[in-house]
Amino acid sequence: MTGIKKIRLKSSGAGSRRSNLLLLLLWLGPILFLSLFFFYPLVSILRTSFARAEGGVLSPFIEVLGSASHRSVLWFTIWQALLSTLLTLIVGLPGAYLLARFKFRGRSLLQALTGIPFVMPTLVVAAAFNALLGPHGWLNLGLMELFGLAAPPIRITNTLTAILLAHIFYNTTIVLRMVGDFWSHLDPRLSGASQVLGANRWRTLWHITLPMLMPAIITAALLVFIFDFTSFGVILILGGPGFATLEVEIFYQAISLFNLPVAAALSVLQLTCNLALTMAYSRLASRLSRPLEVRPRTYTQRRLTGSTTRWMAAIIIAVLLVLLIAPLAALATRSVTRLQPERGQQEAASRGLTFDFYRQLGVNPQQSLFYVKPTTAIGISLTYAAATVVLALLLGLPASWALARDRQALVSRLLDPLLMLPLGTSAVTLGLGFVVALGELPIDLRASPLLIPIAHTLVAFPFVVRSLTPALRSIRPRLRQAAAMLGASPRRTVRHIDLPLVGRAVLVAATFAFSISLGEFGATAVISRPEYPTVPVMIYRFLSQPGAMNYGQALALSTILMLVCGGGMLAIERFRIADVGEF
Amino acid sequence: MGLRIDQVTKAFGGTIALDGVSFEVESGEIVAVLGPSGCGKSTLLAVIAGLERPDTGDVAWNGETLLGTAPYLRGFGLMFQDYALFPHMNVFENIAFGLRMMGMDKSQVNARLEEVLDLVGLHGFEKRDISTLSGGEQQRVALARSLAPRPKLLMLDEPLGSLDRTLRERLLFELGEILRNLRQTAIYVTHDQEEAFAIADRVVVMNEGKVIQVGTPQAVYAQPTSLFVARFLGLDNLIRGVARIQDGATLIDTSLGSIRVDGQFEGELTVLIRPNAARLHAEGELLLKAQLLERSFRGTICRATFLIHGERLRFEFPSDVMLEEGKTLLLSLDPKSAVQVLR
Repeated sequence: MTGIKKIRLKSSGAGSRRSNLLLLLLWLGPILFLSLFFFYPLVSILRTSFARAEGGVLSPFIEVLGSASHRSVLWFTIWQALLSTLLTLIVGLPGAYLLARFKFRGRSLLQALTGIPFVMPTLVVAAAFNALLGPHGWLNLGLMELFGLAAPPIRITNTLTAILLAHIFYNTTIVLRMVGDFWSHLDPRLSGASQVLGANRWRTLWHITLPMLMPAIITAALLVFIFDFTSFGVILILGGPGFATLEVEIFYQAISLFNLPVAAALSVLQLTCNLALTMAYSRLASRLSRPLEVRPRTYTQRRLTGSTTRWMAAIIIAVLLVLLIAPLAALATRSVTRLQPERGQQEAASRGLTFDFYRQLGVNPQQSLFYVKPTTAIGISLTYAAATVVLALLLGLPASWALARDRQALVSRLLDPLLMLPLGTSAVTLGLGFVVALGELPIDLRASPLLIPIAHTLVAFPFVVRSLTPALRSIRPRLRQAAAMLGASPRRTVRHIDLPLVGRAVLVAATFAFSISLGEFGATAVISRPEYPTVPVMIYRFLSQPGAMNYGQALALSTILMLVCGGGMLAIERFRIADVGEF
Repeated sequence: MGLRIDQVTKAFGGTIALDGVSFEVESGEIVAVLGPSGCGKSTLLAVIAGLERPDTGDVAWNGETLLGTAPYLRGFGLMFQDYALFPHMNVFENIAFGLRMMGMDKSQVNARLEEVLDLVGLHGFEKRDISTLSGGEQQRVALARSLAPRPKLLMLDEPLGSLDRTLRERLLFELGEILRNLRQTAIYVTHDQEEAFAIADRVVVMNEGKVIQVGTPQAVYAQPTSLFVARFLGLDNLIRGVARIQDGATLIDTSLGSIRVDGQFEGELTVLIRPNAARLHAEGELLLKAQLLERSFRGTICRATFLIHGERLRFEFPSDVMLEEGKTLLLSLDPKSAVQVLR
């Protein structure tokens, strides 16, 4: 007995050494990438900042933790993120159910439309919410017209409601896609079995479906929470001066007060919160996920039949339309409407439908050196987005494969939480870090056009890993063994079994990478070269200039961004290489 | 020539799944590995396939060890208990997978698929989705998939386990015919003795990770060498006895009386009385007064439980023999064919 045990330990030791080597190889690319473009700039800026602290490295931390206002910022950051995440799940899960289990006309369109908010730059979202709910928004204008009111009845600007609505607007698509895709492969017979065993629909949902969905749900919740936790633009623009998250405070300390030590201490605090959360998540996720019998969608999805089902679908779609699509629609209609008269024009002649804003985009009135045609900006944005998709998948596939293959291995356990750090890191801090650190490298990357897709990949890569890992983990080991028995080498097993089975998840990951790149503004604004602006940068240029014409052009360009993004997502949805995406 | 398994041991944590297992499979032979669930059958297949590495011992093909060879290079086929069909491929793609991995070109793949589909009777199913197939159809696809690359050795892990009885009997017959016509070297793992006896040239009986008995189905059934095998085969007329030598012959004293047997035995042992060995005769060497407790009709035979000298024994008779419950009868046994001594 002991002899057998000894031998067993020895052989498994040799095996795990070999597989650790393989895992390390898979991790090599992601580690190099993160070290060079995340840890190095981050450490540089933190060191530079703390070097300025007069009372030593600890003093800014003592200052931050000792201050009641900083503590209340931390508290607000946490509870608004929790509340936002909860609300996003409540809105998103029924939608995920609808998209996962049913075939209906307009399904792809609904999925693409609900994905658009995710890419909208904060500035545009604020504009969209104002166009719908602001003092001069459609809703207030309509209500005032209808009831003959003198003042707008809905006041939503600078309230918590606006912040929560915007967070839901932004992040519901994460729940829809991640949970929806996972759900669409669950065998519906399992809930059938549960119902036959006497559980009603709700108990089936609670005891069978939700536990199986848990890995996907907590993944989506983690990502939503991190986005809400590090929320910057939404708080700054829609929340107004009364609200501040850690990220807003970092921005305020670093840019307005130039108090770099305190900003750095706050960044470290934010990073620590996210790291702790991610580590808790990793533990939970590996405990909850188990191999499942996956089914092709043709098998799991059915048509909408019966009046109850149709009503349910109608309500879910209506909620999604109101929360996610209405602000976008308001934005689009606003871009073709003139409300205020242009200078020197008659008011009567100026109200109504107009395409002036679009026409004006193609004109360069001030003969500006940095003028770029909208088509060129779209081209630039799409090129960056494509590069980000490729880069994020190249890094994300091996990393998630390593994570799914052996989650207990030391390499994976150490690296897993680190992957999420770029998402939870203050963009302001990291942006400054890029500026400080990347000039010191042998090749000055700050001037390279590659820098933008690299920065976008930092954000997209965790998304790719998070959407691929649950899918890869759910592949039954049996199928890989069956492939091996039929003569497939490990490499070909990945090609013919793993990849096709996670094809949908690869597409989801690609969509996220594409959307993140298309809509990213903060980092891009800091590092982009003026002659190659992306669409969000152009929008910002218009918004930062006064006048209804500039505002209108910003709305017009936002509408174009919306269409490009929707089109891009529909294209990815239809995209097929070999078996990928068929399943 | 063929497969040789030599002193294979495999433990998972503290539990020993295989404990010094040795046997051989000749080329063209069908060997059934028979045993209750949890006896290590599936681990044995995984070790032969290369999916698990044995802790000690050797697996060799034609005299050359396979331990350094990856599963996909061994050229063996394994039909999984739950079939493990690829859910993202249709019937054709599933069966063609192994051929594509061999690098066969399209026309060769198509030709081979025709043959294999003929073999398992699945013509017209090529484009069907796996999830639309019935259990029997999935079983055929799995068999076709593992046969298509012409594996040197085909392993079948409880291939008929989840099917209903009629389907199982029909497929068992067809499977045996297919394997024999191909002269396929095969290991057939099952917990069902009928399946094992029907399909195998030789049977390996396993329990708790050990090989208990190896032999042809007839030999194993006729001469189980241990209590475990007898019980596992459903032979449960087992009575205790003490052996002694008298006048050069062995006599075993049991509650049924003294029974004369061939061979040399001594001390306490167990005697197996075959269920088909009793006759309704009033004369013979061993006459027993038996009270009929109950009888159950089993098609061509009828099984009757008797109380004989305080022992409950079961015997089988042709079903046209008239037996009345509660009556006491005289049964005769021929000790030569009816009795076997187990150690």
